[in-house]
Parts: sequence; C-alpha cells; structure tokens
Amino acid sequence: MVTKPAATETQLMSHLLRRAGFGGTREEIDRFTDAGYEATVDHLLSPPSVESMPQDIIRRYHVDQSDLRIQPATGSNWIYRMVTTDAPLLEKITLFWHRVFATGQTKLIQGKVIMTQLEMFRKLGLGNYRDLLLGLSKDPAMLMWLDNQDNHNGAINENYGREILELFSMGVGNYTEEDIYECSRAFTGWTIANEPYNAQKMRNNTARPYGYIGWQFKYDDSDHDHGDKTFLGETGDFNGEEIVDIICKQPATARFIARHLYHHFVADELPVPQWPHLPPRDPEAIEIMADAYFNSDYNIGEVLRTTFNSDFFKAEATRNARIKSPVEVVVGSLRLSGGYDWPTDDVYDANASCGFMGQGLLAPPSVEGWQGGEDWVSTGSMMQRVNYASKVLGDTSRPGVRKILDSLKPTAGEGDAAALVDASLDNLGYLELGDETRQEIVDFAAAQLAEAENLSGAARTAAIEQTIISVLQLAVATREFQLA
Amino acid sequence: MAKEREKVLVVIQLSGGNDYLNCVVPYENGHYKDARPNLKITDDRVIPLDDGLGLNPGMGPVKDLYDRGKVAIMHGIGYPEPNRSHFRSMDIWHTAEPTKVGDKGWLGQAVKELDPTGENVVTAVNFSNGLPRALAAPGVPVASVGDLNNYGLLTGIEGQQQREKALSTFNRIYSPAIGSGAVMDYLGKTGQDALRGAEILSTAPGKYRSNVEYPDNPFASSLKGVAQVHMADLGTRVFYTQYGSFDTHADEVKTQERLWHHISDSLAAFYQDLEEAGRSDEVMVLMFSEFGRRVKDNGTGTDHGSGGVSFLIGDQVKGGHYNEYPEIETSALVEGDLRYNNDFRGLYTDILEDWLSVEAKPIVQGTYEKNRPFVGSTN
Amino acid sequence: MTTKARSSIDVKYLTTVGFTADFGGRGFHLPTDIAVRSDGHVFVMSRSSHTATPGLRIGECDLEHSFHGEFGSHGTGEGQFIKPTALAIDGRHHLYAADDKLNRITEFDARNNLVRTWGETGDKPGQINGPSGLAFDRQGSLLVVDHLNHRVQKFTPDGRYISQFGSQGQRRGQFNYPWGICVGPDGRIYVADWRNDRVQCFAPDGEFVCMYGKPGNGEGEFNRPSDVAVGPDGSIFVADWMNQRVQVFDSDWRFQTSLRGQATLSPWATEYLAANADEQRARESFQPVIEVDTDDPHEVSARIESYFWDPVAVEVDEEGRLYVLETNRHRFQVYETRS
Repeated sequence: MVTKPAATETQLMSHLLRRAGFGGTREEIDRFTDAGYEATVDHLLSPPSVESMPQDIIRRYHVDQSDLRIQPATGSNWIYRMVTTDAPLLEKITLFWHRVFATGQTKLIQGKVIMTQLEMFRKLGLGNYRDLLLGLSKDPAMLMWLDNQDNHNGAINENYGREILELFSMGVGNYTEEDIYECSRAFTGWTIANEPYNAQKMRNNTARPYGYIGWQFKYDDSDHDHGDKTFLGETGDFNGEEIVDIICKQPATARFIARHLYHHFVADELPVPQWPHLPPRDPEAIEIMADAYFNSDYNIGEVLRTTFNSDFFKAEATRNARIKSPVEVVVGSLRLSGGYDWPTDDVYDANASCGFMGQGLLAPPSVEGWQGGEDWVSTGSMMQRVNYASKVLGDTSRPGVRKILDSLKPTAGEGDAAALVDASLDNLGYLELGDETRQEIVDFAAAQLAEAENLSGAARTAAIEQTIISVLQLAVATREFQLA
Repeated sequence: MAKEREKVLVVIQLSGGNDYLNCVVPYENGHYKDARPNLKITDDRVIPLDDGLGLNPGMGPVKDLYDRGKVAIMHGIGYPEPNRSHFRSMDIWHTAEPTKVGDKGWLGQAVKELDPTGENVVTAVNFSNGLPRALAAPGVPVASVGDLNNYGLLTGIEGQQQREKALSTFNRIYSPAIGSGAVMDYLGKTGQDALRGAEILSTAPGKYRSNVEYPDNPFASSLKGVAQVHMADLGTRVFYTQYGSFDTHADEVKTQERLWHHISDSLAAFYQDLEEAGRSDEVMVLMFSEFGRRVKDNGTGTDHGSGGVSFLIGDQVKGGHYNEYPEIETSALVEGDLRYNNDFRGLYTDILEDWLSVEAKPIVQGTYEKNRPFVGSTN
Repeated sequence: MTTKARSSIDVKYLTTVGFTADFGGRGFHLPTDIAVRSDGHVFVMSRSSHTATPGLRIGECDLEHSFHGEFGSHGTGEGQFIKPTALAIDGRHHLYAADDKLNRITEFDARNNLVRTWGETGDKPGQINGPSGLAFDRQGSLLVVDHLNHRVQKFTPDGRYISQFGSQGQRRGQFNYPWGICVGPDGRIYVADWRNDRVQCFAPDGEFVCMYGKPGNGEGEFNRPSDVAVGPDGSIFVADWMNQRVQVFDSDWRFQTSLRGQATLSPWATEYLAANADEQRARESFQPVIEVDTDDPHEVSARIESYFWDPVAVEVDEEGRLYVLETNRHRFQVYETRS
C-alpha cells in the first residue's frame, strides 16, 4: 500500500467525530478543529449539554413512544436521541454497550425495560466499569434475558453466571466451569419484583389486560446461597457485588473490554468467539487501553480518552477503514441533512431502515450481539444503505440539505464540475473519496452541467439544482461513504 | 441463465399466529363449541370440507382448490416445548432450531445448495423490505423487494435519464478495478451484485403478459410480483411473502375472515395466472404461521397458543388431510393449547428433499418423519 | 390513592373500563380522548400507533362494561383519521372528532354515521394547524384548540369561523402548545396551557379571566397538563400528564386532592384471564402496588399497573362522575365526585 500523507487537522477531526459520534457536519468539524483535537475529546467525554428532543414533545405526537411497548416505538425513540443529541458520544457508548450486553425484545417482549437499561448505559457507560457491571447485574431486563429469575439457592441456573464471564468481562479461557458455578451461586436471589406474573406475561407475549408492567430489581435474601464460594482463587461468602469486584480487577477483563472498545471505536476485530485463539489485530493498542483501564480505576471514559488521543487511533490505516454500522449510516445521514427539530414520522423510516440493513435496535440477533464488519454488507443491505443515504441527502425539504444546496449554487452556476464536487464533499462532513471515484462523479457532474448550459431561465436553474442534488446523492452512494 | 421448468417454492407467512381452530374448523365437535362460546364458526357460516371439518368463511377459493385435489392440510403442526413469543416462535420456524438461537435460515441454506456460488443473485426473492431470517445465510444474495415497480438502486434520484446516468456512474465507482484492499473489494463486488439483481428484476414487469386480474387488496401485489418474476424466467427458485396480522386477541371473527379473504382471493388469481401460462405444475405454495392460538376464547378473540396448521398448494401436491386433528378436549390440552403431533421439520424435509432436491438433514439437523405430500411420493 | 387532605370534595373510585386491543375490537389502543354522552354512552378515541393502524377507531361503550361497537378508521378519506386528538359531543348527540395531522374536524350523527368533515390548514382566521382539543360552549358553538397556532378558535358546528383568542407566549391569555379544553357550567372556557404548565380560564367571549398553576410536582403545580374538566358544582379536574396524576380543585382553585389511580380489572380483563389459566394462576401472587426504587412518575406508572399512566384526558358527566383516560393502559378509570 502506498503511504498516504499525514492527515490534516480537518481530516482528523472528521475522523474523531465519525468514531466518537455519528459524524460531523462541515460546521461542526470546522468549529471543533478550531477548538483543537484534545479539547474536543474532552468536550465529547464531558459534554456541556446533553439536550436532545424533549420526551414530552415526542410523547405527545408519537403516543406509542411513551409506553415504549416494543419496536418500532422503542427504536424510533432512540433514533431521535441519536439524531438530535448534543452529546453524541453518550449515544455511541450506549450503542456500544447495547452491542456487548446485547439484550433483545425477541425474548423480553417488552421494549420499555430495555430502554431503561439503555438509560443506565447512558448514565454509567463512560464511568467506572465496576458500577456498570453491577448496574447490569441488577438490571431487570438483563436478569430476565439470561434467566437469572430461575437461579435459586439449591437450584442453580448458570446462564447469567456464565455470560457475565464469557461475554461481559473476561472471555473464554480465563476461568473454569467451577468459577461459572460459583459465580452463579453468588447471584442467587437476584430477581425482579412480581416475578411469577411478569415472567408469565413475557412467556405468553402478552400486553393484556392493561399493557406491560415495568420490571424492577429485587434482591431476595431468602433465596440467596450464603455458603462460601471459591471464585477465581478467592474464597468467601460472596454476593454479586464481591463477584463484580473480583471480575473487574482481572487483567483478562481489562484486555477483553479493551478489545471490544477497539472493535467498536478503532478497527474491526475478529469475531468474538475467535478471540481466545487469535491475538488482537493490534496487541500493543490493547495493552495501552488495558493500562488506561487500571490507571483510571476502571474508568471507561478514560480508556476512550487514551484511545482517541493515541497514534493508533489517528493512524492513516485506521481512518476510513471500518465499515459503518447501519445505525451509523442512518443517523449519520440524518445529522448531515439537518436532523429533526420537531417530531415526524420520518423517524420510523429511519428506525426501520436500520433493521432492513441488519441492525434492528433492541433486536440483536443473539446474546452475542452484532458481529459487524463485512457482516453488515450483503446485496440486500447494500441496496438499503445506498438508497437510504441518497434519499435523505436528496431531500431538499430537509434544512441541512437545503443549506448545502444553497451554498453550492454559485459554484455550480459557474459550471465548474470539479469545484462543485469538492465543495459537495466538504459539505458532507469532508467526505474523502478515492481519486477515481471522485473523477467519475466529476465527469457525471460535468455532463449534467453541460446539459444545463443548453437551457435558460428557470429550466437552467432547476437543472443545476438537480445536478447538485445528484452529486450529493452519488457521493453518499459511494463505497467510501460506507466507511467510517 | 434460467433453467427451464425448475421447481419453485412460494412461501406465504401468516404473521401473528393464525388461529387453527377457526381456520380449519372442527365445527361439529362439541369441545370446539364449548371452548369458543363467543367466536365459534357456526354450521351456517363454515365452508364444509369433509370429516366434520370445514374452512373459515374467508377461504372460499382455497376450498375450490381443495376440491380439485391441490391442497394438502398439515394438521397439528408444531415443535417440542412450544414458545408463545411471536418473535421467538417465528425464529424457530425460520431457522428450524427450536432449542437454541440459530443464525441461519432454512431457506437461506437451501438457496446456498441450489446456487452454491451465488451466481444468480435472484435465486431467492423476498417480497417485503428487510430480510426474513428464513432467507439469511452467509454468502447468499437475496433480493428484498418492497414494490417491484419501484425497485432498484438510487431510487431517490429524480428523472429517468439522470438516474440512468447515475447508475452507470455507480457501476463504475464500484468496479473492483478501483480502490484497494479487501474491504473495498468486498464492497465493490456486493454493490455490483446489488445493481445486477435490481437490473434483472426490473425487467420482469415489462415481460409479463397476463389477462388475470388480481384482487384489490394489500396482499395481492406480492403474489402478482411473484408471478411476474417467475414468468420472466430469471431462475428464481424461492419466493417469500408475508401477510397479517393474525394476532387476533380481539375482534377475531371479523379480522381473521378478512385476512383469509385477501389471501384466498389473491391465491385464486395467482393460481389462475400460472395455469393460463401453463406454469402451474412448477410452483408450490407453502403457508405457515408461527403458532396457533389458545383453544378457549377470551370473549372477543384468542391468545397465543401452540399447535397449528400449514398448507401446501399446487398441481404436484396430493390434496387431503395429513396427520390427525389434535384432541380439543380440555384434558388433552397442554396448558390450554393443542398438543402438536407433527414436527414442522418433517414438512421442511418433504419440501427440501422432494421439491427443491436439497439434502434436508444438515438444514433441519436431524431426521424427521415426512408427510410425502407430493404426486409420485409414496407413503 | 384517594387522599382527603383539606378536601371538601369527596372522590371515590367506581370502576375501570378497558382492555388492550391493538387491532380493533372490544377495548382500546393508545387512546387520546374520551367523551360522555348524556345517555351514559362513552366514546373513546383510540389513536393507535404508527404500525398498528387497524387499531385506530372510536369505540362506544358504557359504564356497565357493554361494548357497543366501533367506527372510524385509519386513512385520509371521509370519516377517517391519521392522528386523531379530541372528541366532543353536541346537544343533538352528534360526535365531533379532531385530527391534528389532517387538520380537520369530522362530525358523526347520533348513530355514528358520518355527517361531514371540514377544516382548512393554515394560520389565518378560520384556518387550523393541529387541532388538539374540542368543546361546545353554551351557545352551541364549537371551540377548537388550534394548538400549533397557539390559539382557540370558535366555529359553528358545521365549520363556519366565528372568532378566536390567544397567541404564542407566556403572558396572560397567551398559550404555549395548548392541548385540552372544556367549558364550565358557568360558561367559562378552561384551556390546558400545556407547555406553560398552567390552566387558563376565559369568559365565554374569550376575555382572559384567570390562570392557575406553575411548573413543578407539588400541590397546584403542573408538569405539562394535557386536559381539564369542570364538574356540575364547579370543581376543577386537571390531567397533570407528566406528573401522572389528576389534581382536584374547588371552583376557586383551592387544592383538594390528587389522584394517582387505583384501577381494578374490568370484566373484559377478567374474561381474558379466564381464558389464559396460566396467567391467571401467576397473577394470584401479584402485588399491584410495590415500593418502587425510582422517583420518575412515568417510570413509577410503568411499574404499578393500577396507577394512571399518561392520564391524557379528563371528563365529568352530569352526575359528577369523573372519567380519567390513560393512553398507556388502554382504559379509563371512573370516580364519583361530590362536594
């Protein structure tokens, strides 16, 4: 591979905003570039505003987004948040934990409890990992998802005890079957209030008679196994809290979480089941991130700060090399197009499109979440990705598109196709295209502009506008736009 | 590209849980009448078949096909440890995996066998947005068509000419000659495959000639699309459609009848269309639902249950009843539901082996008793 | 949850009518308004959701739990709705329904047959943008809360413009996305001034009379009030939507009590449970009211089935019975009120 020249500040900022959020508009990238890279990292990690479209407004106009019974209400509500938030990294980390702690409505049936879980990720997801893992262990949606309501003193159900080690903290190969059993014992009695009725409603997939009942964590001491447990070499009458303490101090946990964060924020990793057998793509990066985990008292935000400021994150091989997830395609397109300033049913299309592309929110395909990478792309999903982005960026009723269109009219009017394409790319968050791709679009634009020259008056103006729009649409239909 | 006269499967998914008892109705059975005080289908409304069974009043055209010996009714179909979640139960049907969460669809795997290299990007065509899990399998291209008349890439670009030019630019910018690296190559190939599939499918409506009028209901366009693509000889072997919602917790009598009217009328037109084209012997329709419903009614509807009914329809189908209707007597029920007596993986085995000529065992992961519902298959 | 502190108005729970019926039939789905006819028939507008469009309809029932049928459906044709918001009944027993997407009013006769639809989108006098509340005044004119124009307009029942009052703002007589409306026995007009967290009262001619309430969750404080009703004795009931309660005041706005809801199983619900023995069994150990570990009223309502969850509309009939309609629980609770 030819060595590319070092990225410009603008390119780096655009990269950071794509990875730590859903991509920046030209204005955002310019503004943050002026503020400086590290200051922007700080800003993203400690956002001064966490505003997004207010829930009272959403609930009044989309009545199904109040009880949040199930998709599409749930996913659409989250799309609003992702598209309109002032704190995109909070949503990106929430999406990350949703991917790692994949909990689905397919089994739980009601979406509200998963939305509440997501709210917990939002609150704890950039903080201390111990708090998060404890929050997860007490999260009603997670407890029911992994059957911990059936984990009783004297009748152990290992599902949660196994997955907290295998999927949520250490990964296969760092503990024994005995550890799983002891861990499960420690979580006996961790259940939800009114478990028999709520579980039956879940099993029967029924919102009758009066809708769903939100679940609440309940610790039932009388069902807790108070005997001594030996877990990862330590012995005591451990309850769940102590188990989480022991898990969090394991080097394996630091590396496993680091690898997940790397997979989500830096570069596509191998499928998780292969991790015990094959080394990380960049072992050094994982060590740096794992060190940050311990040096910061398990603080995920600090691990990310280290990551975003690291050379491996800023490297040319990292930029524009990861396939965007469907949510990144959809939310990124919407943010580029000006987002939402008032409730609109358009949000349901956005949410459905994520599903059509293979990332139905609150509907991970399994407990292992979404693998991502090339798995995101098939002929069907490719068509959805291309059509969605080009539909949104071709819609002149969207304020962001209108603004881009207006700003490009003078350039287009001069008939300079190359200048038009370059300015379009800048307006699409400094989208970088390969030379050949760019040239093809320039050729397309040149031909269209030449035809416009044969027209006059309103017809000419319309043809020029149409050319600008088509250039924007083609630009987001490229392979390059599929990458983050 | 297309090999003539290959057998084709058309799936109609009855989403939401079609109520078996009010679909194939044991209208003379006293236990049925007792269990359905509020929504039993009475003698004067049922369409009688035989053996004390009748069809839902909305299924008139299905009765006509039944009389012509073209409808196999698969009674008591289900799987062990029934699950009453729409999602999970549908997933089980899609993946043929009742015990763990499967990631590969039974038809996706079949398509992989039919076209191992994915050479024909329209071997499977799905009529809805998004991919049903049934068709999902690694490396299997599936075209998901919302509306056949408006199907393609860059549909948001205005103006026919302008869009055509944009598509040709699209084709060039996804060329493997451009770009470097595995990811770009993969995106390039997939993008070009998508474009090719869209171009192939977009020819279908233009080639289609038929005098058959499809009914004006939301489902008919799916079956008409199937007919158009099938008759265009694009080599499609598996079509997938769905209709609903059959989730009749309330107002069941009206809703279920309306849905069956839509489906049956569409089926009648579809079948006539195929017959007039002399193509009806190549096509078989499978209709299934994720579960049946509770035996006892809840006042105005029924709730999620287990044990259901599936149908096979076609010239090559030996019409009639397969398996027993499960007992309706309260003591014979499982938690208030019919006890299934016919594992759906047996039906899948029939279809895979004797219709699509694909080895079933690796897909359904085991050996299940077949129903042998096809002309020429022996019991 | 009936508290009687300093109360001179007695409020007693009577019954709950409802059932989750997403796609039509006996029950409701995400209802947005309720209207009570003088013969005791109750009409409930089920707005339903984006994907369950067959669930959109107007259901007719009564307090004896008889379900009399339904009419209206999703669509843009005559007698159809996209985003229905409000109901009102006139002296001839005609039912009027508003749609804030289609910007029109639909009139049905006493037998639920379509009479006419009217309404023109815009912000000029007589045009509407987002009708969200309907009420008849004592002269038989229809008051329409034209909420995206932040005003109330008065029309003849067949849609002829008469007058208007209000504009966007926070000053007296101004509105911020107003929602529900009612007319008191004295002819005064009460409007739930939603995003100003207050209720305003106007003379029959639209002259500002008073306003009450401020943001908060204490007594006499509101968080996005969505509707208001006035009883025959002048007592005032406010659907304090985001606080998930109904506040009761006497005619001089003296706080009386606050209702949190105490729903019981309707016969429709009971019949459902009888058909699902496993659920009925599991419900035997069910504690409807649990001690919750959250302060968020919306989340509390999610966890406690008998509490109001999104009490969107309140109505009082001639007998002084209070109806509280809950969007998220697909039901209404009925209370007896007496001074």
